[in-house]
Amino acid sequence: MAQLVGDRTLVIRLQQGDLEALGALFDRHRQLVYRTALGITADEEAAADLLQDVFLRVHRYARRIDPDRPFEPLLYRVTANLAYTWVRRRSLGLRLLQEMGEWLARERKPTLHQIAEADEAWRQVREAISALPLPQRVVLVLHYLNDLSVGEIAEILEVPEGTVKSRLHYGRRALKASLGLRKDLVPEAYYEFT
Amino acid sequence: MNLRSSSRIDPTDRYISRWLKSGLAGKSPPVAARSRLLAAASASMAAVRRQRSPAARGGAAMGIAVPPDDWSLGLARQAVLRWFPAMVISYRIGH
Repeated sequence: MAQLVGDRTLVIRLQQGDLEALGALFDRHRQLVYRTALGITADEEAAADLLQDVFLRVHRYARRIDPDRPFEPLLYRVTANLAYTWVRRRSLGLRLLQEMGEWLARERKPTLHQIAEADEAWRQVREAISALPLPQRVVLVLHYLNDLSVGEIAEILEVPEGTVKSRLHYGRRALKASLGLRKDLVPEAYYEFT
Repeated sequence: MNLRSSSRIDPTDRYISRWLKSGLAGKSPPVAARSRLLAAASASMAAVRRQRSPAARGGAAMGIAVPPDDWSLGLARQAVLRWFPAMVISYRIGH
């Protein structure tokens, strides 16, 4: 509740042109947006770009935001939409040349991205998530990463609840099959992150 | 209520949730992301301000004095359009 009041105040300040309010909103929600974008795109550079794009949109369209409504669903919606667009563009091959250039540049020395590749848990997540169709991926990330209910996801994505349930069902089934071979990779003790 | 809810939880759901969260737990955006965002937002605000300013649109603010009647304003408009055909013209009447 305190968070909601805080967001409301910050949104109002942002609507008045206060950039520090944008910075404060960013500090508060950056992990949420970044990890959601990363879960959907499975690409760290894309997630960083999307993080910026999401908050730039918030800044640009600040006047259209209703400060009395919770701020996080809006962030989820913008993140999911932008991530959708990114994945679609990527699948069309528009990033091919850029990626090839990056790949060539990475040959000489290890980069942050390569170091992250060494993170086994992340690598497994990335592989399994990337194998899912995009609509299922988005729903799974919102449900399992962000703990959103079917109703909340339906509202965020503006689709019927039945559609969310169906995507969740098939995505879950595919993921279960994929994870069945990798149970050893899941930590025995797990602490929730904030 | 809690008992009822917890009895419905499929272990697979918990398992997938933990697996996904643990895979992403160590991931954070680059440190420079905040300053990059604020710089981009600030640049965007400056661009909007420039776009909204008549002086910026025309390159410079120019004034001509004409009597405040329709005929004179019409003549002034024609003259301005002839002299600066490619420019966006805005009018401001001063007293």
